[in-house]
Formats: sequence, C-alpha cells, structure tokens
Amino acid sequence: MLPALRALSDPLLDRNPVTVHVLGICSALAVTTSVSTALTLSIALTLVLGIAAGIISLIRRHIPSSIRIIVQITIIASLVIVADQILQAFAYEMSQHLSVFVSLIATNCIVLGRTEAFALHNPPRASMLDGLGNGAGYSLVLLIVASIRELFGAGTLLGTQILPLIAEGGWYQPMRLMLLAPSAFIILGLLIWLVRSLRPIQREAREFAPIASPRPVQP
Amino acid sequence: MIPLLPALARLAPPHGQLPALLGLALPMAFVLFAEGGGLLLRVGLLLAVIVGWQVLFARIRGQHFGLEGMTAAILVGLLVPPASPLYQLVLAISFGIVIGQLVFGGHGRNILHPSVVTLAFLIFSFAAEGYGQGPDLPLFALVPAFVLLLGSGQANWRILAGALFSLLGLSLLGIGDLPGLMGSGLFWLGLLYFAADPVASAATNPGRLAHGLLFGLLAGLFATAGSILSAIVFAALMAGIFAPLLDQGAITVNILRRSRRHG
Repeated sequence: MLPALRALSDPLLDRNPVTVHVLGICSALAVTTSVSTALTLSIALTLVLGIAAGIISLIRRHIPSSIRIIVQITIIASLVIVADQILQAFAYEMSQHLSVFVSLIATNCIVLGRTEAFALHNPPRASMLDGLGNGAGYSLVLLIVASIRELFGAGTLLGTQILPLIAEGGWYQPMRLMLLAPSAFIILGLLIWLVRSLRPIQREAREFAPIASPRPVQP
Repeated sequence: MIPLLPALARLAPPHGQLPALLGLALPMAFVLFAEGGGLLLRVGLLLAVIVGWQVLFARIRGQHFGLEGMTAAILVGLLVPPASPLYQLVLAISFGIVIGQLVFGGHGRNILHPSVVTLAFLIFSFAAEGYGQGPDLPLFALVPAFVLLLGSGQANWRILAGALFSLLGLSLLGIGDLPGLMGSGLFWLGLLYFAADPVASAATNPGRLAHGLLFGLLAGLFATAGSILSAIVFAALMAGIFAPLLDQGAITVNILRRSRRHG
C-alpha cells in the first residue's frame, strides 16, 4: 500500500487513538448525544490537528526542546480559537450546543500526542497526513458512538426521525440511559472489546495474574 | 446453533444458591397471590434469556455456570411492575447479566449484582413505565430469607448491622423514615439480596461493616427523595462500586498495624 494512504488508514482501526490508546475520552462522552454535534467536533478536531501538525513540523528544527510543549500548545490553542470563531460566525446554534468543548480541543490528548510524538520528528507532508488520519480515526469512533446514542436515545439520526416514538403515535420507547454519560462509557467499552477481539494483537498484557497454588490441592 | 443439552452439562452443582432460592419462595408466593400468573411468565422469560447468555459465554470461555441466574431472574421478575413490556425486560436482563456479570468472568468475579444492574438500567432508561415502584411485600415474607441467608453465612451479619446502624443514626438526626423502611419487606429484600450479596459486597470484616454503613446511609438518604425500590437499587449500586476500595482500606490498615507491631 502507498505510504501516504497507509498514514491515513492505519489510525482508523489498527492504531486508532481512541480504541487502542484510549485517548480523547472526555469529549467522546460529552458531544456524542447527537450525531450533528459529534460530526461538527470531529471536523473541527481533524482540521485543527492536521494544520497544527503541519505548522509544528515546519518549525520543528527551530523549537528549543525545553519549551516545545508551550510552543505546541500555543499553536494548537490559536488554531482552536480560529475554529471556535468560525463556528460562532457561521453556525452559532451549533457552537452553543458544543459550548466549551470546541475550546477544549486544545487540551485533547490526541492533538498534543500526535504533534509531540510525530510532527516534531517528521517532515510536514507526513505530519499532516498523520494528523488528518488520527483525526479521522477519532471521528470514526465519535460518529459510531453518537449514531448508537442518538438512534436509541431519541429515535433520530442527524435530527431525522428513524424510529417513530410512542409519544408521537409510533412504537419506539426511547431509552433515556442512552442520553446519559454512562452509556457512552459502556458503548466505548463494548467497541474496544469488539475491536480487540477482531485484532488480538491490540490486547494489553494482564495487570494481575491469578496466584497459582504451589501444588494442586486434592479436594 | 448451540446444542442445548451438552451446554447444560456445564451447569455446576446447585448447593451454593439453595438458601437464596428457598428464601425467595415466600415473596414469590405472595406476589403470585397478589397479581396472578404473570410473574411466572416474566421469571421464565428472564431465566431463558439469562441461561442463553450464560451458555454462550460458558462455551466461548470453557467455564461452568451455576444456578445464580435463577436467583437473578426471580429477583428481577418480582420487583418489576406486572404491566412491564417484555422486550424491555429482555433488553435490561441482557445488559444486566452480560455487563454486570459475564464480562467480568462470570459469577464470583462480578463487582455488582446483575439484578441491581438490570433494575438500574430499567429505572434509568424507561422512566415512564414506573419501574421504581416495586411490589408491596409484607415483612413476614422475608423472614425465611433472613433466617436462611444469615444462617448459611451468605448474608454477613456485619453488613446488616452496619446498614441498621446507619439508618438509626440518620433517624436520630431527624432524616428519613426509619419505621417506614424497617417495616417494608422491599427494604429487607434489598438489604439481604443486594447489599449483602456474598460476591458483590466487601470481603474483609471491617470492609463489610463499612459497606453496610455506606449502604444504610445512601439508602436512607435516597429514600427521602424517591421510592424505596429505587433507593435500595442505587444505594446497592454505589455501595457495590465502593466495596473493593473499602476492602483495600481495611487491608492497608491491617498491614500498617502488623508492621508497627512486628517492626
């Protein structure tokens, strides 16, 4: 496979930042009650990550190592402010729905993780592809979780009624649990379980091993 | 297609669950008398779903399973309202048994009682169906369960004592309705089966006392704001989550005391 394509496709499943490294959980809980908010935040994060990785990679030989985190955060935060202002200008209602979570992209571990781990050591084109790929991996998980939560919690997808609600004369009784934060944890957990069952190489080593008795005890 | 008979051969001998099942006979008879045969249908359906999941996991993991699914099915069947839609029960019990028990490695390794997880799911998800109400069990219906569970050691007396002590303390402070809780069979059912469940509760003696105190405190406080059933379900859920921490605290204190004594 082409290396460029690989940089984009690897973070979707084999190196997914959410299911493999379990990063970015906070926003994955908060914005996934509906697909539209999840989609908006996904696009914002992917663009911020791609551009930040490009900029940081361009100046990577000029950043003093001792203040590199501060420089990266400054660049990321500036881009986040731009994204936030664009949302407020062109999609005011959506920015109200997302409230603080657009600004919190600046603290998202995936963004700083990719710039720190990849963009600081690689040329701009590869860094941007890596950033966009990781953003896409994050977006994929967010959209899966949000689709499940919105469909079963409200019977809708992107605001269109899919399952007719009992309250409006249909047959579907919405599950309120799906709109509460615990359900995002449970869905994410099941998703990680599924991915790791399909890709056993992603399994982590056991934290605890059961103590083996020194000799078998006769009952 | 999973052949059923070879799968049922994985059923472990039933002795562990007998006191719990016998103790549930009288409450079941009472509810059966009060509302009719719908209870048997519910329990049968819940049991079928539970056994289906247990057989599936037992086959995948090469393990055995016991009669604990029957206890869970009866507990959930007793506590949901007669008119509850069956698909909601199937959904909730699947969630309860898989997320509450089987993903942790089956009975004995779960951190929460699967019935508590099931009921919490129902109360959270389908608020309009009135799952928080629960049947009106009289106190005498729980006397056999009390004797059997306490006598067999499955319900540790320290948990019961801690819970009662907490409730007494609350009522001395003027919070909650102590006689109302004490006189309700529902509260004792929750205390004996949910709070004092031998797997989900704390495992050290000081931890058990603390677990009981925490359960009593939470149940007393929650009952001032809602029904008795939702109070015991969420108190058992929270106390069960904190049980490993309480055990860890008890073990740490013990290690410190011994290291001071022995140098």
